[in-house]
Amino acid sequence: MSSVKYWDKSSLEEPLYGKHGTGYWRTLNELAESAECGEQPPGEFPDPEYLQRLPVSRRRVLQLLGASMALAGATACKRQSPEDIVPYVQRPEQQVPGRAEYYATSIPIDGFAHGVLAESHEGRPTKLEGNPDHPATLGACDAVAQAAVLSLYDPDRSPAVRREGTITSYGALLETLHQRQQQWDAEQGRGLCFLSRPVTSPSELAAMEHLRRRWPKAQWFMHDPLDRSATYEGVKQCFGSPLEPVYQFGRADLVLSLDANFLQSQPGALRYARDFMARRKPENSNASFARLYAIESTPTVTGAVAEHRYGMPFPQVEAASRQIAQAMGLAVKAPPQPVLTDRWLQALVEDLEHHKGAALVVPGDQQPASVHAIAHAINAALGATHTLVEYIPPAIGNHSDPPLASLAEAVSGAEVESLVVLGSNPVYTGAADLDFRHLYQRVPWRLHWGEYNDETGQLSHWHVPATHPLEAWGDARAYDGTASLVQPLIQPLHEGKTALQLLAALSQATDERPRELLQEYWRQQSESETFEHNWRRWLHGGVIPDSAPTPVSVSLRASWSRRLPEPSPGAEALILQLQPDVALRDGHYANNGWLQEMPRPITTLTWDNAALLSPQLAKRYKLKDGDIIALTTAVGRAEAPVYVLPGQPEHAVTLALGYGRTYAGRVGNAVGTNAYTLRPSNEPWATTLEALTPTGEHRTLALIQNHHSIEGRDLIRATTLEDYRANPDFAQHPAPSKSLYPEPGPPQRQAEHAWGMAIDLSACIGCNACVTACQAENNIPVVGAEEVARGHDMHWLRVDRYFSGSPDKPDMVFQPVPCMHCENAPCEPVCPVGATQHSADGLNQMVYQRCVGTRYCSQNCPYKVRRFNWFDYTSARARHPARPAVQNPDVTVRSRGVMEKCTYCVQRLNEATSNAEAENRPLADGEVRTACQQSCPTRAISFGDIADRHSQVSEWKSSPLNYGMLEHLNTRPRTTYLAAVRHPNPAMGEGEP
Amino acid sequence: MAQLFRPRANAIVRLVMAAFFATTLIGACFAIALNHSPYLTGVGSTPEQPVPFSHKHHVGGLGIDCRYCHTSVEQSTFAGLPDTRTCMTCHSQLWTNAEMLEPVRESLKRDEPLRWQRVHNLADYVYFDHRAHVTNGVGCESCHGRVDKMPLTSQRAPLTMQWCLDCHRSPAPHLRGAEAITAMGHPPPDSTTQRQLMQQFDIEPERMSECDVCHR
Repeated sequence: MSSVKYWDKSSLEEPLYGKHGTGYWRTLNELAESAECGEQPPGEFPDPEYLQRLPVSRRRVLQLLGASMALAGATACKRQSPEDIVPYVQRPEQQVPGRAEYYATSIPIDGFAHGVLAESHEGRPTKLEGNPDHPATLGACDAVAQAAVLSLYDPDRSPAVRREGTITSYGALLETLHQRQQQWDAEQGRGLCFLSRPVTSPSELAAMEHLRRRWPKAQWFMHDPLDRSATYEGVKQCFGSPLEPVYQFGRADLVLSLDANFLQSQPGALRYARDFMARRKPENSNASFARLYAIESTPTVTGAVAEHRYGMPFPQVEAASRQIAQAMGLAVKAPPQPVLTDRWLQALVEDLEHHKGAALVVPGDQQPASVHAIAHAINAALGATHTLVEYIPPAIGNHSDPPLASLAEAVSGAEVESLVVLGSNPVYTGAADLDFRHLYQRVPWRLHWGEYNDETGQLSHWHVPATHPLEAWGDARAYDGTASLVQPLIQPLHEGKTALQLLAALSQATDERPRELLQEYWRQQSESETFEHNWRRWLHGGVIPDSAPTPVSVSLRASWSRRLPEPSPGAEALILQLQPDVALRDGHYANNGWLQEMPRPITTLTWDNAALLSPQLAKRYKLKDGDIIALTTAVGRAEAPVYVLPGQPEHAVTLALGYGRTYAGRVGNAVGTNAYTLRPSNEPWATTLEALTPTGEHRTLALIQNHHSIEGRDLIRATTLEDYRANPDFAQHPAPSKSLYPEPGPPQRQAEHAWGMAIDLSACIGCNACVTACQAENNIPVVGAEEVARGHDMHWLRVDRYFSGSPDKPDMVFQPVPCMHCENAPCEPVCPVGATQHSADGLNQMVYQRCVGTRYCSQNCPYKVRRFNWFDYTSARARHPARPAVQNPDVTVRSRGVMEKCTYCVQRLNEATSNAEAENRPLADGEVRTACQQSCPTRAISFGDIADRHSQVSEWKSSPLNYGMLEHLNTRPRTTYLAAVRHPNPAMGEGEP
Repeated sequence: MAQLFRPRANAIVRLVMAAFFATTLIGACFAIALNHSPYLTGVGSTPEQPVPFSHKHHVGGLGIDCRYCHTSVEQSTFAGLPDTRTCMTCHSQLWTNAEMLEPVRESLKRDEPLRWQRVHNLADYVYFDHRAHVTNGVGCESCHGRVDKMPLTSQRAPLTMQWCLDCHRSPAPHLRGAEAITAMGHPPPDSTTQRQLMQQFDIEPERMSECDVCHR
């Protein structure tokens, strides 16, 4: 046999140069395994004894398989069931049945407007996309806004007005309000309290102001579980009045984040991500490449993008900012113990000084006021004020109202007779020490207005359902103060009332029409003769032009540093850090399956909020992923599973808010741990962890990342800007020249286009907006925690996260992985029924109707991008039934036993090519955009015709950074990557974070 | 040791084998025939409609163009069914008391749509596009038959994948000029016209049998 030489080993090894030594790893287990070098993967065939023990024997399985195959054909022996066609009585003007319509509207998230374009099929909203004209989104759309369309059809939304739990009519409420009003009028509102969520809506604020004037003795409170008061407080310390900072990342060459997750979690994050990542283009050799330093308490996507990431417990961020301020010559008291190493500090400060005028410091929303004050003072010293950071009057109009703690005091003092809760859920989101659940029940008359009959609604005398933003008339301001309108795409599905309707009811006890209420406000803001014209223009564009406030001119007060608190000694104790969940925010979105199943960036965890522990701490307590621990703070105790996260500060445990709901609905109830039970009101974001006790219990976490093993392959390519400039071809590894199999010739059929995709790893921030966009566009089912834990997640697109370096100070890179649409696709020849075929224009087509579920294709796919419907995930009997109304009518809903995968949004391709053909013109570059590409905040995805040499995707693919994943397998993927380029500070030196 | 099987056993085995193959063959033939039978394809079926609408009268008799009622056929995947108002453009003046039209008047009065029965019911996984066909030289008649001769609308084509592919693979004989798209009884093109039409509509059959043209 030795004479038969199939291949020469050395010749194969050479093309695989770079396979090892990249040093990337995805989990700690993987790192440990590669260090031990050579633990065998589990064998292909299971142990025979194990087979004996199975409840169903192998023979039985074969019998059942045979029988079901024989019977499967029988289902085809009937005609299709008859269908109705129901035309309109009177067709709306300009509506063309079968064609989607788009309307501009806004989705308020944490109060701030996200401008969207809502796609509507025959009056049924199905998909939200970013509004390119809206300053907060510029056409991008984050996962939370995307998922709003699923919440619209949520059967658990509150359907009716309830009085002490029993369904009643809105009229009955109006009657009660009428009586109450007379009483409130008589006493000027004494004993009446309002608790509101943060409100940016100008019309709502005006209506609230009207009520304030009418009942001057009524008290108003504002409860924001994602408390941003420190932002305003910090600015006030520096400049004398509370203002909202708005950052101009497009002008920054250097950014320092002080625990700010400005790329994902702050108001304006979509815009910030776009602006900042646009400043980091390695191809553009003329422009500078912006550098990011991140000091952060929990690994976030911002830290992952940063060149230099310094992890430290939450309370130490203040000490670090003092150190930086002091090194820059500001009059700030030094912390008792320095936290930043001298070298890091020196390199950072030199870099900041060097970039004066183009350097920016961004404090985190959750950090205390002192960090904000120091950051703004540093910005002033760097000359960033008014150029890189502008200050506007806060969009949240009720930010100065006292917080929930003050309301709690008032209730304890029996000052509160009647309490109106406007869109807030304080019984769930109140800090543990306030014990608001009991206090609330001491108020004699309680009214709750909210989308869900939630924890607070359950304990209220009256509950009024709120409308969803897609069925409401309203308005909201964006992060920069731009006002935009919220217009309904559909009549309210239930008896929901808009905020303006409720405020009108409180004021006049009448049921007003929501559109008129909104128009009434805006008519006053506009000249009356042009109002109708303007109104239509605003509705069409989704934005009210020139409505952003002009930035306020500020100057740093000389006394700013004297107002800083004394530096506190560095705490030795363990710290519990709380943070808003990137998907569920404060828990408001807990009943949304898309958001629950969205892999959280960095952890890739779904359906749970694990306690994030550093590897060192986990080792000390002998904990591993999924072990349940009990956490005790001064105010409460809760149990949560452990997730060991490289990069987590050693003495800090992080837990996300928003889980452990009891009245969220069928999806969100009892998912994860309620972190509010650990939260003290005076230290909302970080508090001392009094005890961390392993309980000895364990549960499997629903993680995505571990599903497909990396096996040391060279999937990620990354380098520094310096190396890239010196060696632009670093990502070009020699292509294979030998194959064991005959090469398929060029396709026989003529193709008009050649579709391809390129993904820029330098631009990807790993936010997962694309994953949810894909889910919404392609009718991807929600499978639930148990199925995700088994590796049955259905997302067609996954964002892989890779670590490199040491587990305590790792670097992170993200890689979105859709179907590669290989020209030489390994999945195609193995399908016994030809259910996956190649099209001449380069699509790897999946034909669901032909698929019999052998899963050979998935076995043979080196990228593991095919997903199998193991169970019925879509019908009414499924664990999380699909909601037919939200489904895209242009995409098949797949059933059990069928393989599926990314199609490059073939329905969009077909529509665009058909439109171009009907209009008798060539298809323009950029006319077809895939759902993932469209939602991407940083424009990291390019899609188009690679046969057109001038298309954007062709330009990207001609970059020296372009490489194909696993190209040594000779699959010739149509989806390729641009290698990641970072721009570290050479002065930072080895070993520094 | 005695023979286990008598000579007769050979005959029995042969008989059983022959019966087995015969049954399989007959079964397969039956299955194929069933699959193409009008029972399963629905050819010739005439679903009962809320109003016995006659295409023969409206198209054949009055000469109303298809697009007067099926308005979106050139713009959308769906040809569109007339709203009640469209019916009432004429029937508010003509046959205003006809009992047959009571459901139409009732629909307008109550603001409740008419519920028509689908005659051409494609499988849900087929994404048929009316616009792509009528703007590329495929006439209404090619799939829907001579509706101008149908007092009640019935299905004329089997709508099987084979039937679709027959035309997708060789569309030329089924084409007609843009001016004759809604014409009934249009003669099939001769070979010169076929070539011209293929060129005029820029039809490339090699791309028309890709899976994702109809399935996605």
